Amino acid sequence: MFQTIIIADDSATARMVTKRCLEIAGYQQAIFLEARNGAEALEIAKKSAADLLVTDLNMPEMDGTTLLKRIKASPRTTDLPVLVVSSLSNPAKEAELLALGAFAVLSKPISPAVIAGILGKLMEQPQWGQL
Amino acid sequence: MSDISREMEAALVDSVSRTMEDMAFEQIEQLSEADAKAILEAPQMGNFDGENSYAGLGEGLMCLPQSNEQIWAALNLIDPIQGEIIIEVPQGYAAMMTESLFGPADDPYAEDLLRDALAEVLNTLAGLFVKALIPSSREYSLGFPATGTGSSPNLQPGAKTWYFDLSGQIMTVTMSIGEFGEFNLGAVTQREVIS
Repeated sequence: MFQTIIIADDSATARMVTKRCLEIAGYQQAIFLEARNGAEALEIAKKSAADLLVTDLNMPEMDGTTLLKRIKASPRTTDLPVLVVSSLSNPAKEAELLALGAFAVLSKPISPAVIAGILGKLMEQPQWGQL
Repeated sequence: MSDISREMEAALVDSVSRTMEDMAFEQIEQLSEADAKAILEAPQMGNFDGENSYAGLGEGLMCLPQSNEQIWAALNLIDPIQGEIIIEVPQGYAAMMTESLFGPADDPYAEDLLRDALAEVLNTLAGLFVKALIPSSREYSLGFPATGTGSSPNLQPGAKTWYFDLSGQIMTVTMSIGEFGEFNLGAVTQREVIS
């Protein structure tokens, strides 16, 4: 199970919706670290022992795509699994994000069932299943 | 300005329903304009009682802001559909929705948080609306929501309004579609733009 989860979104409401979905999906014991943009999320990822990042795409200062690139480019954070949640996803963008290293791209509004299914698949991956 | 097709109307109503169910955990019912106006004009229904609570919203909401002004959020549809959507709810309903998301609070929620909640609802429903109408492979873009309290920005002529019942409160969704989809941003420069 993921124990420390970063949620990056410029909307406090969106962060809360994501957090509630994760709690309902079985992560009510997790520690949630909130970031208002990609730059904050990157700092938190570098300094914390986070084992999952859930990020929006459209954020000020540093968007989700740039955040994903920076996360995957840093040896310290490259193994951090990243889920992208956005209202702006489409197949071309999704393919780009997956190529950059995102584990999954979800469309808003997300639901606990969808996020539980994705995290179940993530746990089956050998590199993350030992978490 | 383009006419709003039946397909667009169905997509909008479905997007509103899905968003409110998934984000605000609220089953909503579409109302005719006449029914909505009857509710809006009825005494006690959705009107702030002037003391500590909102009529019609039940007990346990004493911490909510003591005003029944409207809160609105507006967003431009940029590509490939140009237009604008505005949603508007009573501040009491925005507070109730925020409370359902964030939990009870001792003090009233800051108005910024109420606006943020409404902006996120609009952002989500606008994405669903556009995706329902374009090929799945097509990229699209939306503007950032602007929010405010009181009178909402004027839309282009030809805009259409839909009414929804939210636990006795009325939410209005107004949309116009056209190649000149930008609403007059000059009119909202004094209002907060959520980035």
